[in-house]
Amino acid sequence: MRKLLSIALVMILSLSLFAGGANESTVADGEGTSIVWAGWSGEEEATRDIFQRMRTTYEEMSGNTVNWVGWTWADTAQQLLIRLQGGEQLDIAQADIGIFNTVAQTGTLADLNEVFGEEWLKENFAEATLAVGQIDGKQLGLPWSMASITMVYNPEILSRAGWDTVPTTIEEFEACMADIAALGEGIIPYGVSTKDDTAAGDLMPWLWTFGTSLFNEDGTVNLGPEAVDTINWYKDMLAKGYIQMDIGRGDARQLFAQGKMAFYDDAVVAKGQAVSAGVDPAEVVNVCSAMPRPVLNEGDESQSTMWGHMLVIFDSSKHKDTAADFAKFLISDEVALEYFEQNGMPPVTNSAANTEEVLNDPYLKGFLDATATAKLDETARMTNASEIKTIVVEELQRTLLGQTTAEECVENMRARLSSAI
Amino acid sequence: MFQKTLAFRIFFTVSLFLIGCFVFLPLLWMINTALKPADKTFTLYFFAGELTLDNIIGILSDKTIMTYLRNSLIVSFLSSFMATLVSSFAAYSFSKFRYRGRKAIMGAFMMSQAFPQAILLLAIYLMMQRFHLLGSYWSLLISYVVFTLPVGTWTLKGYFDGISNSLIESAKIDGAGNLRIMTRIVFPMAIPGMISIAIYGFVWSWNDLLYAMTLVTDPSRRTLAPGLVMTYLGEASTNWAAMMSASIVASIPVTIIFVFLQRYFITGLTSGAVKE
Amino acid sequence: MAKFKNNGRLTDTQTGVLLVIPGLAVFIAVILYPFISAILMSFTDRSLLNPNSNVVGFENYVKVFSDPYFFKTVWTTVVFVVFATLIPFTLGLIWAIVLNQGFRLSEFLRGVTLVNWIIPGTAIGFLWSWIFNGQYGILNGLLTSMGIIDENISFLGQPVSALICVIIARSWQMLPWYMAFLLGGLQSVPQDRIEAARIDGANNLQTFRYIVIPGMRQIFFLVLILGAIGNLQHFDIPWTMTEGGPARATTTLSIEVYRTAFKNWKLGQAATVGTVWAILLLLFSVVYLKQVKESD
Repeated sequence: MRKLLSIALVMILSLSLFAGGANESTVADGEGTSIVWAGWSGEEEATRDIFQRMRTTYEEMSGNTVNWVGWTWADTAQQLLIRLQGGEQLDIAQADIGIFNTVAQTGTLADLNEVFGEEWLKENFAEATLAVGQIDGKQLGLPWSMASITMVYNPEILSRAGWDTVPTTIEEFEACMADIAALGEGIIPYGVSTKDDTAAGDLMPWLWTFGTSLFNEDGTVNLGPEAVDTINWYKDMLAKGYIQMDIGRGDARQLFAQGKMAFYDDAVVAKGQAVSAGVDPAEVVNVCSAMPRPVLNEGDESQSTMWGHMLVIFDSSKHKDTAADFAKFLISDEVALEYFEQNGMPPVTNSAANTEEVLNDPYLKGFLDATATAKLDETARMTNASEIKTIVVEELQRTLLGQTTAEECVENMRARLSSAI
Repeated sequence: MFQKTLAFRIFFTVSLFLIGCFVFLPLLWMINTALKPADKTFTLYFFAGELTLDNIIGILSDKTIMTYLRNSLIVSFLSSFMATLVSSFAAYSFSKFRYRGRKAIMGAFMMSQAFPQAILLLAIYLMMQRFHLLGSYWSLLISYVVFTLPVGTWTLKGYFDGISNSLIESAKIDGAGNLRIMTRIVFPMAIPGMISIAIYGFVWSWNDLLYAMTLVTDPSRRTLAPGLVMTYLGEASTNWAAMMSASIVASIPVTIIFVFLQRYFITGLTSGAVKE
Repeated sequence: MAKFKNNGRLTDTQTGVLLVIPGLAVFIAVILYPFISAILMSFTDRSLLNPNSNVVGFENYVKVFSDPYFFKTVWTTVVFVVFATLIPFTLGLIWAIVLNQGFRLSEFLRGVTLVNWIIPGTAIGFLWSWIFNGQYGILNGLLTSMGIIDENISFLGQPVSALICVIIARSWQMLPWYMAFLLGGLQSVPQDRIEAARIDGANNLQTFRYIVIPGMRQIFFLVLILGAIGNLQHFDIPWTMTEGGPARATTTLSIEVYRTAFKNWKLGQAATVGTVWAILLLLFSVVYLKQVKESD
């Protein structure tokens, strides 16, 4: 036994050396500046390699060092906030619209008008694109990839159900869902989210379609009588089996990729699940295609939500210039178009967005069309976005489970939202 | 222990079958998933169908995942070793020495399990930063030691309580000092108990996600649980097959250790707590 | 223990204190200091969005107790903790009895059973949400192919069944742990007493009832307390499976704390929930310490 113990001891000691060695900080050698880039895509299976390539290409080109710090997409906002509280080095970060808003609330982001110069920004981006990254007149986010969250459908299923064109009004949409249900293949017609935060995100554009919204422009709770119609419509779809409980974005993607779902709401990244399920990237559009959300009355404007990734630079950064230089490299045509080719991320600079290959991409087209009229998620500029969404989802779920009526649902939402804002 | 009556045989067979199914079927399903080609992940066949080693080979040849696995092994081994050592000292002290404040400290140790760990995270993060430990194995080792400490101390204390004082006293009469008594007499008798605490601490560190993700951001030092989540639960897609394969592959080395050590583990876990 | 003359060596008391110092040091740094700062934080409006905060007195406590869902959350926590402790405990005990019979595969099965315990919690959450999935779930597939159901059941979409599913998944994860403890306990029941009972004509049930259970009383107490505390802290399986839904049916206190702190950024309020929870647990611990004192 003693022998065993001493062996264990030697092993442990040598492991400690390992751990001790790990303490040495990773300061870059040589002349260049060392910056920290945070986000999530550099960790994910599908994007790990291209992010690695972006960094090494830039490092070779500039002589600077880019240290990547990453988490899961779901934890990025929280981890950025923790890191900001501690004041660890953080120069540039990847942020989607939700994360961007959260981080912007902390007041730690640099005004990019000062970093890049207003001129340069205006030259390179469309006005509407820049607006997504503006809060209170400050340009806090640099657009990187942008499109909308709209409805996605499987053309093969639709044509089996006898639909060669997509439904444009809610009436047609219901008829289409009925035809899909009638196929009897166990296909879920519409995978609207009924689980997690995404359920609130999906409800909003439908509220807009029915003619109301969660909040008024002045920030007070709106929820007009049309909200009751919307909730009743959800209940009706659930009763007919068109939609299901316990579907979040992840579940919808799984089912859709398996060909067991006809419609759901998603952004351009929808492609990812199909590709990882073995579909050829060039043929994704045959089983996964974007469409405008059906409208209440013919001629109404179709609704969709803004989606995008941005780059943010931190005010506390000692190397804003290097960070800006790196950001310019990331959005440069060559890098952005490769990112688009590999992962379908739509570029946003005037020069890259207007190239033939982006404009004529059949998959991207539907998303870009919807982007023209896309609105920001209503909670986008709120400090307690997640709390608001939680309230909306909880009350929606209670009604769908039959615990409350649609009227009670709207009333409860109103009461809880009013006290939350 | 029990007579093999008919009733007992029935109880034995039924339990073996039912609990066996409950315990092993989901596990087999995981292995089954790991062996399916990616496009068949959600096809509901159970081994009888197309099987491939691609996923497993993919994981084994993925350098990043193997780095995570190595880090998990390092951190888990070291933290369980440290936790066992520290708990043993503390437990021995609680069991065989009397001094003022002893009971208060014992109570405090127990209470440390009583606060949600998510809340402690921020303060721990800030402290690790102040001591420049962020991103090092030490930040994880120290946190994990503390979360094993209460269980370890209490279990081992029971164990040491079971060692008779007369043994220690006679050693003293022979002129042995406290250090010698501890390392030569008391600790060797508690080895099974220590192994059980080591395994307990090992599993704790092995499974931790929140602390590991927050305190260590450098991929070269990241452990497996956050590593898997970050790699396979993406913004746009979740790769279940790879996640299952990786979990299975990762559990193999640990399973071998467990099968090897289970005899110590099982006798050790309890002999401390049960006294005659 | 009697005092002995010290000849240049440390006294017993000094040694005792010295031994507890490493544990105490890390304990103070990693638990006590954060613990106290969290309690102080519960009286502030501290947010993750802003490092500065103001003292707000009992405002957070008022908010927490006036939340109509707070007591429901406490109740869900109690249900989760009780069942997710008792179910694997019972199954683990039976499994330990079975594996204690020493049949050919038993040693191997003991080792392999422990695997469940070392699979990362998130992977377990995914595995079980797949099993219970209402659309492509394994259980639905199995029941359909056996002809028991015609239409898929949405196990995770209904409040009561969702909670049951989460408890089952947690039980699966922890069963090996209970098995391991209880198997050791079974083996430590003195064989001579069992034989004596046999000679007195006791049957299996009587032996179990009057010899085995009393012999394992302490180990039962230990695993139940440790298991309950573990379940109170437990977070990743329900979070992965349901995120606390539907309609809060699976929101336990630890999920509530996580969501308040890391989704709603309200650290002060999360610390308040944590403090209330610690007070509830204090009652638990008092019972435990009393038990320990009796055996001291």
